[in-house]
Amino acid sequence: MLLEFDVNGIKRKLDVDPEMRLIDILRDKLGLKGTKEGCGEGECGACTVIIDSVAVNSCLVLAIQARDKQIITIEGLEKDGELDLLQKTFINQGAVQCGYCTPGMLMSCKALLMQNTNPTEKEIRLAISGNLCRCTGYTKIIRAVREAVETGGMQNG
Amino acid sequence: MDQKLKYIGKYIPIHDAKEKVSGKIVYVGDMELHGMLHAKLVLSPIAHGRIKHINISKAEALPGVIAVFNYKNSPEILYNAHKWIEGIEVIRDERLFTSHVRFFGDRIAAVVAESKEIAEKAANLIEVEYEELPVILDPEIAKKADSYPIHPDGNHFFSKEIKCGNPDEKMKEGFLTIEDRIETPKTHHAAMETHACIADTDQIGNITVYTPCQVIFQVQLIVSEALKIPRNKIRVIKTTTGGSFGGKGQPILEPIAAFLSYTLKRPVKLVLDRTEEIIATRTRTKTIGTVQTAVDKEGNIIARDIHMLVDAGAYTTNGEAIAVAMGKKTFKLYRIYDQRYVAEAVYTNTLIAGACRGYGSPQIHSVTEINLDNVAKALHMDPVEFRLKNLVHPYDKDPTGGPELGNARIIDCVKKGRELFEWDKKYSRPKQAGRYARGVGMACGAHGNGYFGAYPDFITLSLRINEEGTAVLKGAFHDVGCGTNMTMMQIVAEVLDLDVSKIYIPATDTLVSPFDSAGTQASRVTFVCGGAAKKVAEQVRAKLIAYGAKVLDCMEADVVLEDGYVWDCNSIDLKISYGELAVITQKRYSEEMGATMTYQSPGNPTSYGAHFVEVEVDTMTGRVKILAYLAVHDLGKAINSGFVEGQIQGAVQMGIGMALSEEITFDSKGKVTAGRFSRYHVINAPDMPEVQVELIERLEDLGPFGAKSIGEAATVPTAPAIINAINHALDVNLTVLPALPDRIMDAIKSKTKERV
Amino acid sequence: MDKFTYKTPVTLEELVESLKSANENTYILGGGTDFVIQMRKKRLSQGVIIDMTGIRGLNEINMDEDHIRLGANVTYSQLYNNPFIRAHVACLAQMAIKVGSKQIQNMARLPGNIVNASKAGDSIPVLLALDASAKIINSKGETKQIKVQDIILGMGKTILNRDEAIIEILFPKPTINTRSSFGKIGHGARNELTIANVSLAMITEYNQINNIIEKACLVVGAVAPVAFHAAQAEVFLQSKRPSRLLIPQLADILQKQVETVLKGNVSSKHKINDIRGLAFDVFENIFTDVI
Repeated sequence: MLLEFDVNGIKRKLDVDPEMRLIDILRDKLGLKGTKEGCGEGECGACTVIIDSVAVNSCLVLAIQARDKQIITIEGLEKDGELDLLQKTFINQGAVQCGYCTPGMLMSCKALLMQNTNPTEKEIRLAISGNLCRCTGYTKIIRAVREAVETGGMQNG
Repeated sequence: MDQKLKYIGKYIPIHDAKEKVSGKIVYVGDMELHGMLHAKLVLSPIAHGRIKHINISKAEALPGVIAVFNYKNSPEILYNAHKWIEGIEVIRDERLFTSHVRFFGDRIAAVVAESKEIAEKAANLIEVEYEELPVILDPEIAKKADSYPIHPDGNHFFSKEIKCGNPDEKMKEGFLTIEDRIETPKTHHAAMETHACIADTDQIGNITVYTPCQVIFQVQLIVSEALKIPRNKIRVIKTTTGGSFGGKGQPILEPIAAFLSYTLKRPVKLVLDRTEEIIATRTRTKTIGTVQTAVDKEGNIIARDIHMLVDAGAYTTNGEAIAVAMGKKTFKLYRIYDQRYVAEAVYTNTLIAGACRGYGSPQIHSVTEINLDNVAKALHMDPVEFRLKNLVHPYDKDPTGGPELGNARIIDCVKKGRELFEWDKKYSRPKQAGRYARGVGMACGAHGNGYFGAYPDFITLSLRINEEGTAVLKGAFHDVGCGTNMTMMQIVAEVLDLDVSKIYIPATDTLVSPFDSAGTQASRVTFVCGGAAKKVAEQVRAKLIAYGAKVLDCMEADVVLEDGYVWDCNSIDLKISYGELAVITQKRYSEEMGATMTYQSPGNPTSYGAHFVEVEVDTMTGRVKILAYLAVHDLGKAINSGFVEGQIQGAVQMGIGMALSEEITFDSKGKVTAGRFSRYHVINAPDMPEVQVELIERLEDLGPFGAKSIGEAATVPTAPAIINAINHALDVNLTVLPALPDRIMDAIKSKTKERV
Repeated sequence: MDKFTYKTPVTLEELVESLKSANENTYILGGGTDFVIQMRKKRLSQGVIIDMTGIRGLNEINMDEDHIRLGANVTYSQLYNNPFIRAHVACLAQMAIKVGSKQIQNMARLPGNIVNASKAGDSIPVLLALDASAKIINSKGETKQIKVQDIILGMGKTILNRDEAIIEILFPKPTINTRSSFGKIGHGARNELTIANVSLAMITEYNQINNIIEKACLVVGAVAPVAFHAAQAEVFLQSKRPSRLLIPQLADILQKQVETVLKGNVSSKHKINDIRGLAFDVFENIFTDVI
C-alpha cells in the first residue's frame, strides 16, 4: 500500500507491505542505514528515530503508521554539511566509541532537547533509559548533552 | 622522551567519530553486495539430543529459497574457533552444523534465500525430530566421572595446577584461615552490534569474508581449517565493529558464511538477531571458585589455595586457556609465596563460553577479592590496610617464574583511592538504622599485557611517508570501538612530529595488512602493537634525520623535525616538508621514506587497578543503588586520556552488570530463559553512577611512552568491589553473583535467623 | 490470501465499517509496540490490521461533570505531560512515566494493556484502582461502557469480541481529597525500565481537616493473572490517621495477601519482599506532607 511521509525534510511516496516495520523501509527501501537494529523489542533503542518531534523505536512501529508524519533519522541531523550541535558535543566529549548505539542515542537526546531545553541530569538519564550502550557507561553521553545545553545551542531545536 | 608531549596523553576523538555520529559509517550489516543472498540459522530448541529426522522439504519448496544446509550436506571437519595461530594444541569439537545438539542454540542448519524474510520463513519450516539425551547444567555434576558424557571423552576435559612454595605446610601455620565458595555467572557480551558476516566468492573460488572480527588471520585460519581451503584463497576484511568485548574474538559466523558462499558462488549475508546473539555465540565463562586463605596475626597472607571449576559450556573453545589465564593472575597481585591454583574445566549442556573482557580475571578476582574482605573482617582489620600489607611492590618477581610484573603501582592506586574516596571516614561511619543500608567496598585487580611468556606475540608493521607529506601505517589493527587506530596514530604522530590528521591507517585486510600474531586479544594492543608503532616510527624518524642531514648538508645532530618539516637548526630559513624530503630521497638515493619491521613483545608487565564503591541497599526489596564510584588505575601512561576514561567507565558498566543484574539463566531442561534484553538486564543510564577516574601514571619501562593496558583491566575489580560494599552494608556474606534482589534478601534473612 | 490488509479509519463511522468483517485474524492496532513484537514472534502474515491511530478526536484528554475521559489514542507521554493528570491523578502520571522507555511511552496507549490482558501491564492496577471503564464500540456502531475490572477475565483473556474496539477510557473525577500514587518493582535488578514484578496502585480519599483517610483503594498488579484489590488493606486504612506507624502494618497485610495469592510458588517469593517495599514507597509518597 502507498505510504506518504516526510523523511528528513523530503516528501516520500513508497509502496510498502503492511507488515513492514518502519526500520525495514528506512534501511532497505530508503537506504538510510544509520538507523540500527539491536534487539527488535524496543529495549536497546538503537533503532530510535524521531516522529513528529518525539522519539520512537522504529523496530516497534509499522511503516504505514508513519503515514503523513515527519520523520527525522540520524541522517537528518546534519544540516548543509554542518553537524548538529549534539553531534559535535558527542565528538567533543568522547561519547562515541563503537558507534552502534550512537544514532539511536543521538535521536533520543535530540528529542529530549526538542521538548526540554534545559533538562536535569535525571531527565537526561531517563530520556536515554531505553538506549543501551555497552561502551561508554553513559557518563560521556550525559556530559555531551550537558555541553549542548550549556552551549545554549538548541537554536535549531 | 623528555620533551613535552604533543599528542600523547591528549584526548583526540576516535578516528571515525564524524562518520559515526552522522550515521554514515558502514557496519557489515549495512553492506549490500550485488546478487547477495541472505542466510538464517536454525538452532536447537533442546539442550541435548541427537537428530533422528530432519525434514527440509517444506523449506526448500518455499519460493526464493536457494538452499538448505545441515549436517548431511556440509563438511564434517571438526575445528576449534578459539585457535588463533598455527601451533596451538586445541581440542577440536565444533563443526558447521551438528547432528548431536549439545545446548539450546546449537547450530543444526542454515537456510539461504533471496531475502532475509524468506530465509526466516523457511528456517521456521524445517522439521526436526530429536532423540533427547540427559541434560547436565550444573558443572559440579558434570565434573563427576559418571555424569552423562556430552562429548565422547567425558565431561571433565582439563585440569591444571600452578604452584609456588609449599602451600599445604604453610596453610597449617595460619593464625586464621578463611574459606569461601563463590560463583560467577554466565553473562552475555551485549555488544550493540550483533554478530554479522558477509562472504563473497569469485568465479575461481576465492572467498572474501567481511567481518567485524578481532583477529583477521584467525578468521582466515579457521575458515581454512573448517572448509579445507588454502589460506591464499581466503581474504578477510575487518569491518567497522559495533563493540565486541571478546565476543567477536572467535570466528563463529565466518566459516558458515564462507561455506555458504563458496558452495553457492554468490555473496551471502548472515546477521544474528539479539536472541541468537545471546544463545548462539559465546558467553563469559561461568566459574565456581573455592578459596582458602591463611594469614598470620599481623594480617600477612602466608598461604592460599584456590580451586576453580570452569564451566566451558557445550564446547571446548578456550576452556583450557582461560583456566590457565585465571590462575596466572593470582600470583601477580599479592606477595603470596606459598600458593596453589588448581583449575578443572568441564562441559555442560549450556551456552558456549569464550573470551569476554578480562578473560577470566573478573571471575578469579571476584573469588579472591571477596574472600580477602572476609579475611580482613575476621582479623578486624580495615580491608584497605590489610591489602596494603600484602600487595606487590614495583618490580616484584612472579613467584612462579612468569613474566616480571614491571613497574607495578597497585599500592599507589590503593593509597590514592583511599584518600580521594575518603575511605577511612566512609568505612568507619556508624551504620544507620532504617530501611536503607549504606556500605563501602573496594577491590583490587591485576591484568596482563599480551601473550609474552605464553604464546607468540609479535606484529609486523609498515610505515611510509607519502610524497605529499602524509604517512600511512599498515598493520593488522582491530579497532573494536575503543580507539586502537587513533592510539596508534597518536604514537606515530608523536614520534614523527607530524599532525595526527596526516596519518592514515588503511583497512585491516589479510591482503593488505602485514601479519600480526594475535589481533585484539589479551590486552596486547596498546602495549605490543603500540610498542611496534613507536618502534617503526622511530626507524622512519631516523631515516628522516639521516636523509635530512644529507639533503640539507648538515650534521644529523643538527637536523630538526617539527610538525612535518625538516631543517638544519643552524639555518632555519630552509625548511623542507617530509613529503619533499621523501621525494628527494627517492630521486637521489633510490630509497623510500619508510620502514617495515617485525616487533616482538619485550615482556608482559601487569596492569593494576583498585575500585572503590559506595552502595545503598534497600533492605526491604534487596535493590542496590550505587552512590559513588571511584576507579584508580595503574596503566603506566594514558596515550589518549579520553579513551582511557571511556574504557574505564564502560568497563565499570559491564562489571556492575556482573555484580548486580546480568545472568543467563536456564530452565530445568536447559532452555535459556534470559534470551532477550527484556529478560537479560544490561545496566541502563538511570542506574549507572558517575564513575570518577583517577590514573597513576608511573611509566612502564617496556611500554610505548610508558603505557600499559586498560580496557580489560578496568572491568576486573568492579564486581568484587560492589559485592564487598553490599557485604559491608548488610554485614552478610554474599557468595553468588550477580547479587540479585532475592539473593540479597535471602542473605539478610539468613543473617537474621542466625541471630535469633 | 497470504497478506495483511491494512485499514486506516479516520472517523468512528469508518472504524465501525472496518469492524464489520472482523474475525480471529483481525488486529486492532494502537501504538503497535506490542503488536509488532507479537506479529514477528507468532509469524502472523495474514489478516486485517485496523489502525486506530488516525481516528480523529481520540487523542484528547477531556473532562466533564463527573469523569476524566481519555481518548483511545492518548499516549502514555500525553498522560504524563498533562498538568491536570500530574496534579490530580498522580497514580496515572507516575505509572505513565514508568511504562517502558520514553520511546514506548511516546507510542503506547492505555487500551493496549486491557486488550492484551497482560499480567504485568502497568496500567491495569491503576485503572482498577481508579474504577475506570472503557467505552467500547462494535461493528453495529453500538457503544457500551464496561468497567475495566469486568473486561479482563484472565491472562490474555477479555470479554471483548472481535468486532469491538475500545475508543475511550473514563474514570470518576478526583475530588479535592483524592490522593494517589503508583509504584512498581521490576523483574531483575534494574531500577528503571523494567517489566513489573509487582506493582501497586493506591488511591485514597483523605480529609486533611480531620486528618482521616476516609477511603482507600489498593490494587496489586503482576502477582496474579489479573490485578486484584487488596481488600483487607483497604479496610485497614479506612478511617485511620495517616502516620508512619501505619505503614509496617499495611505492609504486613499486603505481604500476607500476596503470599496467599502466590500459594507457595517459590520462584515468585521475591514478590513478597517487593510488595513490602512498595507499601512503604506508595504510602509515603501519598502522605509525605502529613506524616
